[in-house]
Amino acid sequence: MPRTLLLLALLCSGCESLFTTWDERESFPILAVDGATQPTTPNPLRLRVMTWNIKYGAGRANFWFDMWGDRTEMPLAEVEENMQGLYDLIGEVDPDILVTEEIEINSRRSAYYDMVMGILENTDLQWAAYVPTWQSRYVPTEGLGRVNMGNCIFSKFRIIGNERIAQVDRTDQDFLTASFYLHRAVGRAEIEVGNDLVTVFSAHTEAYDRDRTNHKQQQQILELMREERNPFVMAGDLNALPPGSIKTEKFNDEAPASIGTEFEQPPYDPTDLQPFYDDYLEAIDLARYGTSEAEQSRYYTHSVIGADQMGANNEPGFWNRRLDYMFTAAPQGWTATDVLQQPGDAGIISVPMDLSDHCPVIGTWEIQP
Amino acid sequence: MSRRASSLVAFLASVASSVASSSSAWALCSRDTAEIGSCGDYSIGVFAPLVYDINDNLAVRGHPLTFFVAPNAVLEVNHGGLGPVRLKGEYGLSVPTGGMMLLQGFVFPTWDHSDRQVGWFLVPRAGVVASLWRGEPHVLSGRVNLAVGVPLTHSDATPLGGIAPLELLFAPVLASYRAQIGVDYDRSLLPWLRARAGVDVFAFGDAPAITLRANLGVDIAVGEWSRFLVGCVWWNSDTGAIDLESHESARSNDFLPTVDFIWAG
Repeated sequence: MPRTLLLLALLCSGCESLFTTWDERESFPILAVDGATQPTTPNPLRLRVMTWNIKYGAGRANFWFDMWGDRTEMPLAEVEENMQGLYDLIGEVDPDILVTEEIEINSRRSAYYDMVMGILENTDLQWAAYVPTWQSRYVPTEGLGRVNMGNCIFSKFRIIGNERIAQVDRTDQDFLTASFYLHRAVGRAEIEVGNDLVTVFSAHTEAYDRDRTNHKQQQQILELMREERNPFVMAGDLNALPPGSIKTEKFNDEAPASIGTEFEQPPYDPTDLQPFYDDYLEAIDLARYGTSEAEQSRYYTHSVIGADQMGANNEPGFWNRRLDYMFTAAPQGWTATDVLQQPGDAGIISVPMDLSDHCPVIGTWEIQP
Repeated sequence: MSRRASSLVAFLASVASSVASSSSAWALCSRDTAEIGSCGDYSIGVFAPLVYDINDNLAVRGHPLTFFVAPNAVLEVNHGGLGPVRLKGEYGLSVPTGGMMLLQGFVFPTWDHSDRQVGWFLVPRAGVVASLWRGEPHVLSGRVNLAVGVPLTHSDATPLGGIAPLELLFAPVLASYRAQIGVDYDRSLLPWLRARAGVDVFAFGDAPAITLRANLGVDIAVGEWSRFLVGCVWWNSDTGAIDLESHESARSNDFLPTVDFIWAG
């Protein structure tokens, strides 16, 4: 019966369906700023890379599913102000390649602001490869309405290919909920750097699953990395902790109200990412990550709540777990890597805690060490 | 054609055939014109509103399905006419807040953690319908009306976007007003069959946002007054869509079927 109703809804919605179904692999448009020009090839071949989950330009607004507030939308002026903070920090880092997650192009909740065009127009990045992970014309939940959110790979160098690779969907939702829910995907961009072709993957795996979808999606990403023939970086928010993490539960930013709801934090298994570390090189390797909570906290990248809010453990919000990563494969490697938690890190003056619920990870990717 | 589709076509054909064979004695009147009382004393559809003619100069109209959560009524007043043109005034009032509150969690936010709320509104509405008869079977009707949201308490609800009919329904309270201008052409094809076509332009909000609607359909008589309505409607509106190639704004075009049964007497 729900399927019949849904098909009827699809028929009645005419040209643009209420939600989107995806092929396994699809090509997507590549955007470029007017007058984009290929920069001089660096010698030796090294690129500054940055990955950042930008929380749809919401800064520290507490949306309803975080269970610390009940915001469902933002006025345009608020989004513009938040985006300016993102542009400023991106400008300070000045990356050659920027990988973003939770970036929106015309969602009602972010005032239909086109964040992809915004970053192209307000930074030195010239090309963009956007792939949607949540594209629904109308999500009938909490007045959410139209949503178009995804991953985007930005580059100063020419992007010549943009592919959306579908990830497995959750199996612990009913058909209607699953239809209007996110359909996670990996973005794969091929970038021309001098005479070389390099590949960048953007990933953002599931956050609220109870059926280990997140881990299945990680396995898919591993397969893509193993199949890749170009030098590559795989960057993004894997919603998983590094192996050896000391703090694995009872995080300060877990809202008591979320317990027992669909937005309760599923338990982490820190061994999930071990195969990534076994075969590939992460921007912050496990030796640097350390073996104590004090050492590891320097590399945390996520906090649901901001600094001006007291959390469940009666502590003000600050980064409390690591979810964001950048991997490459030998013989490529990393130098000058960091997690930009606060002003002063890598010389920045911006305040990352105010800009998103994730902070950026940066590094210099040595393609030809 | 699938077996189900074949069965549906056969069913519709048999209904049309039986209607045609039994309806030679009466002619289907034109509806939604400026004339009051020309189509019986009352009518009500599944989606069409209840219309009750108090007398030849006065009728009252409302949606009974939503009345208890969103009280609404429109008074239709005969303003006479000039030659072949008849004029009817429409004066309405609705209080949609109860219905909006029922939709919190879906169409509107719940706002569990703050004092944000769906506010109380009065929505007065006024309009005029003019119909030109050049002798049956042709009727040309023009309509213009304006509905305005008058806030009684503070409201945090904002325009919905996404789906044009839903957007228009709540436009007076979410975007301050909704203005409509439109024209319908209604023609009798057979005593038991009428064809209708119409175009409407809606405006709402500060910009203002413009929505176009065009509809085409037929009315099939069932008995002396009642009828089946079958047709389609095209909506052209700004729902926030963009073209993924250029990232430029794109208007949405939606085609929806229209089906109703209006019982009248």
